[in-house]
Amino acid sequence: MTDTQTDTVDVLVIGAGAAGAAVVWSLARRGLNVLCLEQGDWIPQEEIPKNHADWEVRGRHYWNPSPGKRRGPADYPVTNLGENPVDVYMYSAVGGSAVGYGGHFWRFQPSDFKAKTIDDFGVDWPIEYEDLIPYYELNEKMIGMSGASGDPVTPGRPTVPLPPMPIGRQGDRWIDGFDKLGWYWWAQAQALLSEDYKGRPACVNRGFCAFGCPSGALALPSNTYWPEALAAGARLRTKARVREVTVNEKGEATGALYYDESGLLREVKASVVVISGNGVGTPRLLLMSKSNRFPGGLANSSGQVGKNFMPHVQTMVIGHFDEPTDADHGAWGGTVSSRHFYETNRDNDYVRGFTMVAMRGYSPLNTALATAPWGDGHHDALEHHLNHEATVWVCGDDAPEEHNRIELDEVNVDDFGLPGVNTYYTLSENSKRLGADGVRRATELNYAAGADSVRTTGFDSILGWHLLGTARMGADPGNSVVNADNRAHDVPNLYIVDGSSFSTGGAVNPTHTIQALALRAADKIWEARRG
Amino acid sequence: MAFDHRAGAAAANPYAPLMGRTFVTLEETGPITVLDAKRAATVDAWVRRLIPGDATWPSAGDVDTVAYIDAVVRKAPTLRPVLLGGIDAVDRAAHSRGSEFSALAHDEQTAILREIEGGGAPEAFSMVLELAYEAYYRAPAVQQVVKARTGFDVTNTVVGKPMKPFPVDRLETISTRPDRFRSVSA
Repeated sequence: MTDTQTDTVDVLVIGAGAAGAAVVWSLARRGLNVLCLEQGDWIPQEEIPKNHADWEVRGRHYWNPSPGKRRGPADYPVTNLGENPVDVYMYSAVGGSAVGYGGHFWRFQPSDFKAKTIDDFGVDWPIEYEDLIPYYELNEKMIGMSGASGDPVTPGRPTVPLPPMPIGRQGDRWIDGFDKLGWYWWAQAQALLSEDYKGRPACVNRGFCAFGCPSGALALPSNTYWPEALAAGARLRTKARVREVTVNEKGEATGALYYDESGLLREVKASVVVISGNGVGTPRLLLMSKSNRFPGGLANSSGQVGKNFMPHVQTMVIGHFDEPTDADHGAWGGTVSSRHFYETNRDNDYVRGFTMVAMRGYSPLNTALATAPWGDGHHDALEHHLNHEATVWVCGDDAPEEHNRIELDEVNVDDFGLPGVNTYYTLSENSKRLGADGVRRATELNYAAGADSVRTTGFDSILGWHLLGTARMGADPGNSVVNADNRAHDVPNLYIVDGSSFSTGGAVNPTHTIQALALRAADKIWEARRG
Repeated sequence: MAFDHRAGAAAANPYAPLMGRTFVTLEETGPITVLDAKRAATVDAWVRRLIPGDATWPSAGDVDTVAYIDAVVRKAPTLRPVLLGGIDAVDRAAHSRGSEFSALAHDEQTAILREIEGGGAPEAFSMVLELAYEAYYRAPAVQQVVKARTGFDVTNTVVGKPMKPFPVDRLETISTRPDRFRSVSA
């Protein structure tokens, strides 16, 4: 059944996550009629796990980052395949997958945009680092980024809005380790408030930020961009599951069809459509939006929609320390971090590099599941590991490769009969060598910081927080999906604004760059409307 | 961060796809309604072998683990055959030794559970193990022992704890170094 009432708006944004929120904020403040459709909902305070002492169990159940385990009302099935299947982590909610992030907030490096030219790696972006600087700066002020000003790794050594987060004794140990090795390090830039900021309270160091921030000290779209966007007149419609982006005979996007909570099929007409579903949701919607005009899926004349899936080369290298690591407090996302091995070193057997983030320890249930066998040795093992471990997270650059991809799964469908998703991922030889070196270096750091033993989570399953590259940006319509303005090559009034548009992924958490791109894309949308 | 993974699991956990729909609060973990008394006794002995008690630590059977497992399968009926099949496999193995499982010596119980884990009913074993760990480490009594024995205070993770500011003076050794980004200028 189709509702006879049709919305008509200037801009329709699909997805209320980090990118969608920024686009809506930017355009609504200029007076445009902006509607956002989000298949999830606002998260009630009561459902934030960290409001409860049993947050670890809640985090494994209804807050589980894997949609295939969580299977909430807004989720669709995701099956992870390939030699190194990615454990895809994502949320359908106002705030998108940021509701379960740790708040690392990095700028890309200039080299990240030119990896093909300088390292014969992947492809170049059609934009440069300098194009994003004003948007990085704006985003850092919007979210209240904490960190240390003057980072030698960032061109211009910019000022950071808020001081760095506390790092405690374990952070001091990590610094000791870096200094002993002579490696570069810096305070981790974070989307966390080290001081009260714009009506949000400073972080009180609960830690384990991915299990929800009860106070709002962790910057989320729902406590930064959305309040201002809604105050500016934007509308946000939740529990709205988009079935397809509609097009006319000229190949222009005309809006979208979506199911509301009751299952009623509704339509929105729009002059401009923006898809912000990130690296899995966006290619899914494009591939679902087949038509006579676009039989292979919308904006897919290049055949690149869903291809070049890049989740980063990620693993944890966990050190055991004789002294307590104070794992029960402090921002989990990081103490200090390093891009010492970020750039290509011609002495290596691989190109590009990795980040190391020196983080905190794990929680009781997680530690027990990972280290404490059942039976008589259980308690001894737990007492050995818990509060005596801290982890170094390694995040490496992985090249865009067509065989790493997202495809529709017509067998496993969601509650409305819409397709699920299969992801395929296999580490390249370069990624394997890069990852091995990352583990080696992180192990060195652990021992230099005082660890007496080290364990790693390996690469058999890739941590899937970063879902990038599946509708990539490029200058050539023959091998990319969107242009330098995030506008689809094939559809003049369709914009794809999220991690899927990354040409290459760099080697850092992508949320800051996603939002900077979104703010820039909003400017491009505005400029295009004004002719 | 992979907070939900169990290391060394011998089998896929059949309840993994149902995790999101099987959360049970402490308050909801009430009377046992799915398991009969005999099966509940087997599960009780089973989880006491998974996480045994000692002078310091309670066993998994000393907290509401059996009721928790019962409540989870009450919410997810498709898991009942897996659980019941596992219990019956344990009971059969015990009966072949001429006893109820709960009456066997601990080393005999352990031997049976190793058989179940290794091939007798690995999925049921994996499910019971993960649910037992969940029930155990969310129990307030256990969280108190965790604090006393390891220093990890769950209360800090819920209400926070003051920390000294970042030691900005330690940045000086790095900030005096030259720029450390790669130029991409032509």
